[in-house]
Amino acid sequence: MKSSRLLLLLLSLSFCLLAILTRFFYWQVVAGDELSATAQKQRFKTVEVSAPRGKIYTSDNYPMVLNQNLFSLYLYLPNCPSLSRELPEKLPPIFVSNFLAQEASPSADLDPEVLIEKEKDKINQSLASGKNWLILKRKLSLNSKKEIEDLNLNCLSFESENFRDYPEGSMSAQLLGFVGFDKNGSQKGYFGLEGFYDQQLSGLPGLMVEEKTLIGQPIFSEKRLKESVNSGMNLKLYLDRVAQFILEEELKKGIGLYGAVSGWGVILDPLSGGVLAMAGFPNYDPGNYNQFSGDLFSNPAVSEGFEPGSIFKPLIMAAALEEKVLRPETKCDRCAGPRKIGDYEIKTWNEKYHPDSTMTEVIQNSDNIGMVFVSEKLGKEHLLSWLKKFGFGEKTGIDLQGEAGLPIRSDKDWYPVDLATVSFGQGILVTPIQITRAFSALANQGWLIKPKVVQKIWLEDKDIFLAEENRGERIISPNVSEEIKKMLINAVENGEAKNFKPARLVIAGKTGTAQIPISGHYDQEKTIASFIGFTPADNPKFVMLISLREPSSSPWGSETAAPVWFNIANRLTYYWQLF
Amino acid sequence: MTAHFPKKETGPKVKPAKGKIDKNLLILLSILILIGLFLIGDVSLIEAEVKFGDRFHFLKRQSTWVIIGSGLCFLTAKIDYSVIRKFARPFFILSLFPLLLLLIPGVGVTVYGAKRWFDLGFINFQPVELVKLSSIIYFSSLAVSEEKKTVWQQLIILLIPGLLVLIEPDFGSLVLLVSSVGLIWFLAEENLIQLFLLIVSGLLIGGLLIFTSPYRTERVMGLVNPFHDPQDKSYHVYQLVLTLGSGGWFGRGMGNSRQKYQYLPEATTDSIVALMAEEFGFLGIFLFLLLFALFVFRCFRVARLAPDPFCQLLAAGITGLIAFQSIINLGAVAVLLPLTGMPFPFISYGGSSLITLMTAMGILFNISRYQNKKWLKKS
Repeated sequence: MKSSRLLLLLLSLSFCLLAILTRFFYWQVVAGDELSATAQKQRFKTVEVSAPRGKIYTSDNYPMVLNQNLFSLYLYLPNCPSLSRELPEKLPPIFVSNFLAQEASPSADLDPEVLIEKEKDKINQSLASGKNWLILKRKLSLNSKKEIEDLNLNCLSFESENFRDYPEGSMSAQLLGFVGFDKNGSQKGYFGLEGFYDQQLSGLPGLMVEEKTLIGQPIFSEKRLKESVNSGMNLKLYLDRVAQFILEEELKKGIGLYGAVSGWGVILDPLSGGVLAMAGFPNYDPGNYNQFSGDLFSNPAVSEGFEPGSIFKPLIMAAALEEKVLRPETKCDRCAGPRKIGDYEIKTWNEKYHPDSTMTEVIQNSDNIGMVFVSEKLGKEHLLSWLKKFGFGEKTGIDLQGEAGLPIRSDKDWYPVDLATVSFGQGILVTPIQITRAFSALANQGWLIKPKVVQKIWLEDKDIFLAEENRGERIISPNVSEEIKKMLINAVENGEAKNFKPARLVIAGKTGTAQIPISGHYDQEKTIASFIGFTPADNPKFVMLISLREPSSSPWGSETAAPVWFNIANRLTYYWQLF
Repeated sequence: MTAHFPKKETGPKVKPAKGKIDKNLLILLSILILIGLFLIGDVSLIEAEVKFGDRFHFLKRQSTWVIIGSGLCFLTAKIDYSVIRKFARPFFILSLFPLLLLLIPGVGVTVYGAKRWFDLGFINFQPVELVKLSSIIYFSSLAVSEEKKTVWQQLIILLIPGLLVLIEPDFGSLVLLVSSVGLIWFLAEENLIQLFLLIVSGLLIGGLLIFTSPYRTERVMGLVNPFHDPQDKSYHVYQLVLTLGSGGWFGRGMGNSRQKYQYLPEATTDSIVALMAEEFGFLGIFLFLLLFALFVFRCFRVARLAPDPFCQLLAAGITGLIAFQSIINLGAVAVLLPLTGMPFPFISYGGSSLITLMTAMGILFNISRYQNKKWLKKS
């Protein structure tokens, strides 16, 4: 072994080492700053920080909708192909117990075994979807999160997310709406208040710059807030928690008692237009909306069109009084028998006829023939203009998503028979909120108020919006509203429902039984039974509509909706101490 | 380095008295291995957690291999080098069999299209590691044998393991094998012109191999411009450069690497030096390479002071193997050479390389017992 060759070798190795060190020096020191910045850019990612959604309170400051912090479970598949066997075995029992614990009233027909199988299928489907990032489950409680962590499975990660919490369960579900997910997987309000006030409730998300690993897990180091979170605004409603509770309880009871398919109730403050209570049945649980049929999400009180029937009569009567075409004591000279208009014959509901009855008696007897007389006195032009004056044919503008407008026919499409039937509330579609609003004008000395749900929008002690105290347009004079009120008090005292009325209350109201048009014909059996009215009559605290669809024990409003109305009014007057 | 080397087999036949092993070399080796364990523990936490759910998975396994390697090192340090010389040929032939086994379809583990491993359960055994060592021993013995073969004859022998390695394919190991044996020829005073011809033809064949294989071409192109396809083809090189750049003069500090969060591929194996550069900066790398150079030079000192030509060539061959392997790795990390999947000796995670190199170090320690102090005195 020649030392010269060894020396040559050592020199070459030293040269290599020097070249490598030079190269290191170049990358680390010369180009270091720029490369370091590039490396930093690939690690620091801007993530959205969701804003807490606004809360919803009743007028008596009870929370209706709050937030709860729950967890979503994610899986990054490429790291753990081996897990595809373990996950469908170990996760479903936890998911199911998590679900059952959250369910407000778990129904008995939920078999855990069946649910576990369902969850298993869902996981297998997600795993087979070919995506790298999978959302395995949303809305896991802190407990379930811990249970999953205790399984010591890799590749799973949690993200905390705020979900809606409903301290009152499914109370006023259809009024509130629910929070679901849009196409991009972010939360979005649907229906009712959540839908109407989605923008205000959701606030603006903040931006956070966070250092992350290649697969997007956070490296626990400093975080920088780039744009701060704007929390969602809170809503205070006109809704009264007790009134809502009473309405829901009695309505549900009434539907059961009279064997109705469904029902709705609206209670308005006739002075402010505030919705004191509003309910529809059957309803759903907004916290688990995806367990229910989509038909139940819309609020019948604002979105369901129905033919109002006799509860419409006082409105037409008020119009005639206002137009001075008749007086309460005017006698009907064509009320001795059925009326023929074109090919149609119009009868009274019990086929009893009251010749020469006064207008007060027409309302008291709910006399269709008498109302045709009123309609004829009023004339087509006045009648149609009064339908518009009462706000029919357009939305009331209530602050709930999903209100139906229900346009009425153009003037030239009204035939004599239509003008006759509309006087007793058939042949026209209205929403419950429309007719309750119109009826409020009879209670509040003639003002057409705008119904509203939200009284105040606020954020951290700062009021952002206060509902206007605007009473709207005066459509009925005080004199006429006094006259019509007397007629309505008389109708309750002496009408078909008089036996159910609590003696101590003075109620101005009207029953109604509308036949339901089914493919162009009226079904003789199926009715919508309603009662609308207000109390106390001299200084009304509330206007209330109660309707039952297809009651089976009796088709008549006087025997179904009216007792429900009276029960609610009785309890409400005790609650509000209105004597 | 002005010592006069005795001519082949003409020096005193008497073996110098058996002394103590080179303690300084032992200390240097221990420091290197400890640095390796420390770095693996540091940078593998994330990968270990994600892949195995045990933050210390890699550290535990590497520690096990250090213990096995130490045992083998201790054993070879006890075996007299004359025994090694006697069994050089059968050991060489035997070591080729595992390499041949890899040719059988279904045997061995295929990673990134190359079949280089056997999965022995506790360890991924890489036959080429053993072949490197056996070749160095065998060619050292050939160089000093009585019926000496010409370089051309030896070249034909070298072609056997060379082709087998190329078939896997493992271009990096082929280069390492050829250059280590070439080093032995060079130090064994073979004809310089012949060697020059060999080097030229070797370079030509190497170039041909590179440009006939798309993935090798890809890697060479990655060197020219690490930024040409940072999301795919030059991803590894691009991330290496970002890792080095993140270190600067003084580094991000111990444990503070960010590129180890899955950005840099092969964090515990081929790229581990880059992460060292990120955490300890250019100064850290400079000191580390100084230490490593000291170690290599100390190994060459053992070769220079070895009692006979066989020992000299064997020790130099082993040292050359370690030095070349580190240069191929460092070259790749510094983006001077293409990536070949070469671990850094004693530092990178991986049992085959570590255990083989520690076994080889045992031979070196054994040789260091018979240092010819007389030559030291002369110089």
